[in-house]
Amino acid sequence: MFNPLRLLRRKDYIDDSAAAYIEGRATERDEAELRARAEREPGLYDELDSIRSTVSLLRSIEPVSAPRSFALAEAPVQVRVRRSRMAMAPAAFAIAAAAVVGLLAVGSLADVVRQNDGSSFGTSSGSSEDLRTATNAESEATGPQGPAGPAGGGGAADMSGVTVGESGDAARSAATSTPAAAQPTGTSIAEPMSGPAPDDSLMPPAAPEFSTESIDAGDTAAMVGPDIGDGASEQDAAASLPFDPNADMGASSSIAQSEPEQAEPGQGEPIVEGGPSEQLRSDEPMPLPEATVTGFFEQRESVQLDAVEPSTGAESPSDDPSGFALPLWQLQLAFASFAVLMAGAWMILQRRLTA
Amino acid sequence: MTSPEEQKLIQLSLEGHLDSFNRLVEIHQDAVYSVALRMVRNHATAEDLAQEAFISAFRNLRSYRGGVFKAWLMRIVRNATYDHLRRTKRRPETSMDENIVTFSNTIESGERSPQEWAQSGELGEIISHCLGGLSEDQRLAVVLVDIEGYQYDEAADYAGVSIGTIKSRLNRARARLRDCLQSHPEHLPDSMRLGSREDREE
Repeated sequence: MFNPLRLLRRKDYIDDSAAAYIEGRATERDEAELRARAEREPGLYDELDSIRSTVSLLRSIEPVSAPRSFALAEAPVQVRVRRSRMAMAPAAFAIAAAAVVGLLAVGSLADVVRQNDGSSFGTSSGSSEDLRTATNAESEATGPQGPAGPAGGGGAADMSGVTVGESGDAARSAATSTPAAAQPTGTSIAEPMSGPAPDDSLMPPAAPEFSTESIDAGDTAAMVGPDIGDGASEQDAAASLPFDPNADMGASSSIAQSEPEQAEPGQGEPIVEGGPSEQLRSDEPMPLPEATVTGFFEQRESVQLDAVEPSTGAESPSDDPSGFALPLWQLQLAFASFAVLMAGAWMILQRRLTA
Repeated sequence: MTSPEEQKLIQLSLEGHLDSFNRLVEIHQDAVYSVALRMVRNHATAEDLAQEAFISAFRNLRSYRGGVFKAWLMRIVRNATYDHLRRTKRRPETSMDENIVTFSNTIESGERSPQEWAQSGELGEIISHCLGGLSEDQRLAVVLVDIEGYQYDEAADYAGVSIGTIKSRLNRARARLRDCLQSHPEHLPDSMRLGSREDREE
């Protein structure tokens, strides 16, 4: 029967004098100590005697002799356990998979490989911009005049289409920024999102401003930029396109060329009734009449279609000569998982072989 | 301390004299086998472990840095038995043919009647069972001190621990063994049966 009190007392009653008593080698001094303790602990001798009997029983066990000689007939040879090469296979796979993960990471940093989908993980900025360009070019061709034009978020998509051709951050911020964040830039990119949804047919991809001061060749190139998708080809396309000086492209060119921080106040603001025109300042030019805006779209669309014709928007990112487009993060995840799996298998195998 | 004769044999063994090493084996083989047997409670396994221990000792003789040679040898046996017990714990290998040591023919009782033989056989089984219920460290302490009769300092040296640790393990092991044995009072000698000291003296 388990007695917890016995456990508590055990620590106390087995000291050196008690051990000496148990083993039958107690001196007079040990005996005196134990007698003094026994007065305080009535059951002490019972405990010690029962253990003493146990020890006597153990000591009554006869010693055993070796049943045979263990002398060595010859000097033992050092035997090296050769493990099968197959046992190392999981480790090799794990190392290879880890190396692939590392190479993909390095390749991503060096822009040799890039993500081939819309994921933001491990992508180079140029590739995703190109991809968005192609997509938005398609939607832009039909969007503003389509029966079910975008509003709200859809408007933002259109806006990002307009800004394609800008380099890097401005375009990205236009595509993704909240209205509040976009407002201080002075561009019209995100403003349609901030006001009440405008009439679909009037939703401008870029805010035309009735100002011809900033029109030049570079502006034109920037305007056709979205449909080309590539800075260098923008210039070529612009040069080959018929340029109508009557068309107003100042606003979009301002967006394309200027940094958001450097934007002139009031430039690029959309002039759309019911839209963010409330934010126009008094020194800004008057909003365009509707007919003018429509004319702008007609002009812009004709330019756009001409420019985009060879490039249908289905341009594959892998056609970009700057590197390979791969499902980068998916591959990294898959190889990392494989590496972990193989490492685990190797460890289990080693443990079993050792056992 | 290692005797001068042992020192000489060790030196010769280090120089590659197998006969000298075999002389050392003959000196210590009973103690090595006995400890192995008490620990694993199986004759065949104890033989294997003892042989392995001597082979390992010969191979690693250069790692012997002086001190008591028997203690060095015993630590090899201890490691071998611990490894075996852990392996067995992970993958129990229970066989009906195993020659489990029950101490049935090893308990001294002088001239015994057939009934006493039977009783001592049962008691031996109980002792073996109770020893098997101890942890490896506690079992080693009991085997070295109470069964093999080594002194505390020797046992501590063989087990590779301090004397205080050996005493502590021994006290716990003895108490557990006592509890285990008293759960089978019908097979115990009268001196071990429960009851107060006064009752027993009466």
